[in-house]
Amino acid sequence: MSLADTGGNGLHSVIDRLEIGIAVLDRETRVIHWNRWLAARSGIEPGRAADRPLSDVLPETVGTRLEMAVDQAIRNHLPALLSPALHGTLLPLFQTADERRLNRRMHQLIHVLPVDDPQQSAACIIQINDMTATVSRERVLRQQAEHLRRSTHQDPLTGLANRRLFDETLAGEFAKAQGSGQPLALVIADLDHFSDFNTLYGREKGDATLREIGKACQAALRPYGDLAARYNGDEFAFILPNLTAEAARPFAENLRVRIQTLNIANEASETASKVTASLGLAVFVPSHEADTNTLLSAAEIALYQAKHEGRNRAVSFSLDDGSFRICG
Amino acid sequence: MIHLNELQHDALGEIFNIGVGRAASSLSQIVQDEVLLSAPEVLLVDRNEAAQLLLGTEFRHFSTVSQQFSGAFEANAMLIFPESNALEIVRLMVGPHMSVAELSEFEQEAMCEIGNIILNACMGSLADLLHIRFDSTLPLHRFGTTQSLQLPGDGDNPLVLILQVDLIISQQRIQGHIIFLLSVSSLSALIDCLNNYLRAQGLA
Repeated sequence: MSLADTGGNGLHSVIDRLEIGIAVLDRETRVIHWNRWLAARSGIEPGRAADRPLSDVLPETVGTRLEMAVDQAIRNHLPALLSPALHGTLLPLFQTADERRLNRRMHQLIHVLPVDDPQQSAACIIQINDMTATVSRERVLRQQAEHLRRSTHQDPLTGLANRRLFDETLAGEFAKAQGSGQPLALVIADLDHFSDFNTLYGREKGDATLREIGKACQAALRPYGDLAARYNGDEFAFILPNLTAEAARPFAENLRVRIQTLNIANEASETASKVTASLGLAVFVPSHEADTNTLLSAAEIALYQAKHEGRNRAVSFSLDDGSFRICG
Repeated sequence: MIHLNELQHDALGEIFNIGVGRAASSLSQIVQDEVLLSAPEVLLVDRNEAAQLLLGTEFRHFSTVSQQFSGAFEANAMLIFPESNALEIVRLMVGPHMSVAELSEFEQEAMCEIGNIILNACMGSLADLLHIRFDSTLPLHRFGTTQSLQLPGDGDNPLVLILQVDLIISQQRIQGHIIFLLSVSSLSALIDCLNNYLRAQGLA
């Protein structure tokens, strides 16, 4: 049965009116009906599609999942769904002539449905929904979500983790270390005389310097697991999981050297003629009674000692015996 | 209680193995990367045992895709992945990292399609080899907790056919289950079909 024979059929004129694409195939995948929506978007008139196998009308379908789904619908009578996320723009369908010229296919959701219709010999329906608008809205929403996620977790000036992410990560790593019995190291770095630096050189230069130091901090981390955060105005903090005191001390010293060797002049400093930092380090294997404040306080005690000893140095504080050690 | 003898059990395993093989090749084509589905282990257990088997895992949240098959016999077929595994599949097949809350209808449709491919392949293979026919609903995707993961049905379908499969995408192993809920009469019908098949093979 061809399209010409069924042109006057009431049901077919209904299908023609639908605002979705409909192709009806017989058991040999020959086109029995090709609705107007589909004709307009594919650029293939119903008369040209009629009685020809799908692979002939749309050669793009050969070897695709659509071809398999059609085969399965006809042979096994099983319905299939082809999602826009996995297939996107499988068929060469375009919303307008302009889009066709630019080769911008519409995003499609395709259903392949078996039918039992011995009279008309229809065996399978391909139903196509235009998902283009939904896909682009989805993209915008996703970008916004990504932007939002970044702004809630990132310090806008340095690009390092912000205080919120630092707190969350510290809590997570602390719980992990409690479970695994592995050590957890924490370093707090405070730039020496940085408020004087800001007064002398101005806020803009101060910001640029913080950005540069942020980069140096990030570069000092191991590839996985470490976190560098902007902790307070001119304080940076580092979470270093599974790092022993022996390994953490050189890390802290290395940080100090990295900051010093940026060679950023600071004529306002009483410590040196350039920007330097004092660092406090604490490492411990947290017991189940301990909390993150214990570790934070220990690192702050170490930092205070580093300042007390004349700044531009890294000092560790041992929670076991209350002793201080110069790192490096 | 109905049970499968060794021949029937092996025949089912072989038929589903062909099915998951086909599904793997369809999935590979979509992601343009090798997707492997392990030969499924076939288990016939009662509902309570099934619930324990599924819920006994450390996972509390599940992603399910289900289709209702009817014809030679009725089966409620369901593909079940722990939620984190489902997210991993979507991430590997669709792209970026996302949480369940962010999972839009796109990813849900993608999960639907993946389930559809695997379930249709299994049932299609049954239909082909046993020379029977099924109709089916379109796939439905759901997230649920262990509490809400009620195995549908009532006292009438006490038995559950479970296929345990490993899905390997980009060298990452993701474990899931395919379960078929069958009534007693449907299970008898399935066993009759299997016996016919085995007789035709000269095995029974």
